[in-house]
Formats: sequence, C-alpha cells, structure tokens
Amino acid sequence: MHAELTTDGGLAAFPGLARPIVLDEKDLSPDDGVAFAHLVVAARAEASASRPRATKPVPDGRTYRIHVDGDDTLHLQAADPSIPPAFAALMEFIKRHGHR
Amino acid sequence: MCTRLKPGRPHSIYCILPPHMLEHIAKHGDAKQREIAIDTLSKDHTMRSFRAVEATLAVRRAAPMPTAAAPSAHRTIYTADETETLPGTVIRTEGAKPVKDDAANEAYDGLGATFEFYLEVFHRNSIDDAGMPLIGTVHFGKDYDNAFWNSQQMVFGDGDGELFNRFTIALDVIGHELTHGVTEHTAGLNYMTQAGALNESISDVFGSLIKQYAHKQTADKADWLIGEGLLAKGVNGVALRSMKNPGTAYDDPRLGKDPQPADMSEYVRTTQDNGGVHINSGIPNKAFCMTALEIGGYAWEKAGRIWYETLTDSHLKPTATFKTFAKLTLTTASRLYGASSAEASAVKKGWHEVGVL
Repeated sequence: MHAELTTDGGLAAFPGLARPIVLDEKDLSPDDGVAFAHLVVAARAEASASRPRATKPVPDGRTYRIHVDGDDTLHLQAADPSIPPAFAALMEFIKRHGHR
Repeated sequence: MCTRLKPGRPHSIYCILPPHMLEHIAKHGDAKQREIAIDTLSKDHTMRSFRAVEATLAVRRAAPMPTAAAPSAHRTIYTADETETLPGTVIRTEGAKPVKDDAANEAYDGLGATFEFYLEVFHRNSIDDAGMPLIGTVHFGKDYDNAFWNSQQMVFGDGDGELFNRFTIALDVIGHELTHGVTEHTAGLNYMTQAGALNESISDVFGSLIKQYAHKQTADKADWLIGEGLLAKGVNGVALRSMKNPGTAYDDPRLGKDPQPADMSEYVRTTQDNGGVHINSGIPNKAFCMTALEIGGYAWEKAGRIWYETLTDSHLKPTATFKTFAKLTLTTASRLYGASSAEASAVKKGWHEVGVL
C-alpha cells in the first residue's frame, strides 16, 4: 500500500512544502504496517459515512489531499479548520513516517 | 477660514462660509464642528450672529449634547490546547492583565493594535465597522505551522519549531488575518486567481501598515517584509514575503525558493493555492510599496488612504482583476488629491512599474 499526502494553501505558498509526502507500506515495521492499514480503513469508513459538501476556501486555510493506492484506491480531501478525526490521524501518520 | 477687513471699517469679517451656514453647524454639527463654528462666529460682531451664538452657547451651558460612546475593542483570546477545537477555552478577555502565555498576550496586543489602527486612521470601528468583537485562538493543532481567518475569528498555530516559530510573533501577520475580515465586509474579493491575489495583497498592505503605524515608521524606514521573525533559526530566509522585492524573502532547501513574481511578465498561472493567490499577490504588493515610497512620509496617510477608499468603494467588485483595481486606485487618488497631483502620479507610476497599467 502506498500513500501520498499533498498540502495546498496556507499563509504563504512554499514550493518545498507543496511537494507531496509519500509513504510506502514496505518501509514500515510490521506493527506500523498494521497501524497504517487500520488508519486507512477508518478514514475510508469516515469518508463513506459523511456527505461531501463544497466549502468556500478559508483565507490562508489549507487543503489536504490523501491518495492511497493498494487493493483499492482511495482519494480523500479535507480543509482547515474542519479536519475529520480519522483523516487527521491518517494524515499525522503519513507525516510522521513518510518523506518528501 | 475668515479674513478681517482693513482696520476702521465697521463691517463683518469676510468668511468663506456665510454666517447662516456656520450657525447651522453650530447647532447641528458634532462636538468638534460645533466648537469651531461657534469660535468662528464669535469673531463676528454683528447683532445677527451674536444672537445666534448666544442662543447656542446658552443651550451648551444648560445641557451639553450627549456624545456617543467612543468605539473600543472587545477582545477575547482562547487556547485550543493543541487540539483543533474552536474557539477553545478562554484565556484572556478585554481589559484583563497579561497572562503567562506569550502567544495569548501577543494575540491580544496584536488585535488591539489592529483595532486602533483602523479606528484612528480610517475611523473604522472594528472589522465590520460596527464594533465586531475580536476573537483569536492560539495553540491551534499540534505543531501547526499556519494561521488563518475563518470569517468569525483568527486562528494561530505554534509552528513546528524547526521551520516556523509561533504565528502570533508577527504583528503584520495578525493584521493580515484581521484584514481578511475587513475585505469580507467590504469588497468581498473572491479568494481565487487575480481577485484572490488582490485579497491577499490587501491583507499584506494593511498588515504592513499596522506594523509601520505601531512603530511610527515612515515608508522609507519600513522593512516591507511580511512575517519577519516567523521563520525559525536555521531557515535561510527573512520573512514569508517581501513587498518591496517580491521573490527574495527566502531560498531554503526545505521551503524552496520564494515564488513571488515582481511584475506581470512573471505572472504565475497555476491551479495550486487557489490560482496562486499567495504567489501573484507580489505584483500588487510591489505596486503599493512603490506608490508609498514615491509619495513619502507615513505610508498609511496617503497611499494607505487611497487603497482603503478603493477597497471600500462600491465600484470594486468581488471579481476584480489587477487592472480594474489599479484603475480604481487611480480614480480614488484623483478624487482625493487631484488628477494632476503628485499622489495620483505616484499611483500610476507604482502600477506601471509592475506592468499592470
């Protein structure tokens, strides 16, 4: 399973920070691999349960996109200040274990 | 206003304003206007004006006109305690003493400085010109390296300590965020492409002016940097943006190179960042900076006034482009100072330098 997190927007447009953070499952320990899989399942369930709604961009707010490739493909998006909890948890995991 | 005739001639002094107009002001103007009109009228020794002055003074002595309470800030600072719950827990309210939390105190002071600026310079009573309470939340998220305005309040992260310090550390950033609220309540510039870049530029312009006003800096002494002090030690950069020299604020292996263009020939077409609102804002930023430097003195007095009166002009639409905004600043400058004035010429020169006009 492979995940990619991209961040757009914010108080300034830093090209370096606009580069995606990537995470490959094979680079994780067995325990972290399991945790990763659970977080993806939770984020998928959260997205399925909620109704997507178009929101006006918040000045200087960020938009976050997570793309996961594996047995199934998953596209997720959230924006400041309303990041759903499972999305936030997956995002933090990718940031902690991934790299640009 | 009034000039005396040669000595010996028992006539009323000549006034640009006729006595009946001064009498009307003496009765119906605000406190300051009434005082001036009465003092002016009191210099006229004809019986007609004397009776009007006496009547007005009698009213003043008997019952002074009530004056509206002076506008004042209503600030509340919250802490989100590293969660993303807004607004969070109250940490400091209006009039309360400083707390132990530096970010909270900086937010409190910054909101106050921004309120004072808009009130004292443009007679604007808070963001909506109707005394809107000012709310800020600090310690939003964990290592959150950003700040934003969500239409109701400002939100500040603590930074990650590696790339960014806490976001309350820069007064111009606080002013920048609050000014998004001002734009929302005035022109309502759409937050995308050129209108969005103007929206961003307006926030940088007034954020910078708020900082300059607080430090009483003239245009030539200002640094024209946005977010100086935000970048952590070890980052190769001085600020988030440079209004004077767009594209030079940072060049760091982790952040990348400052992508802002300095003129229209370098305008960036992108789908990122809502069409590059933080990127292309460099162009109108530089136009304002050049205008202010050309006029000289305190930038908020004339250049700032031109930009503020353009922002609050009903002809400025949410879909404005750089060109329509630029033309409107020129119209405003001509109206305020004259079509052939040095100020109008400075505005034209500023936009010409960045290739918009």
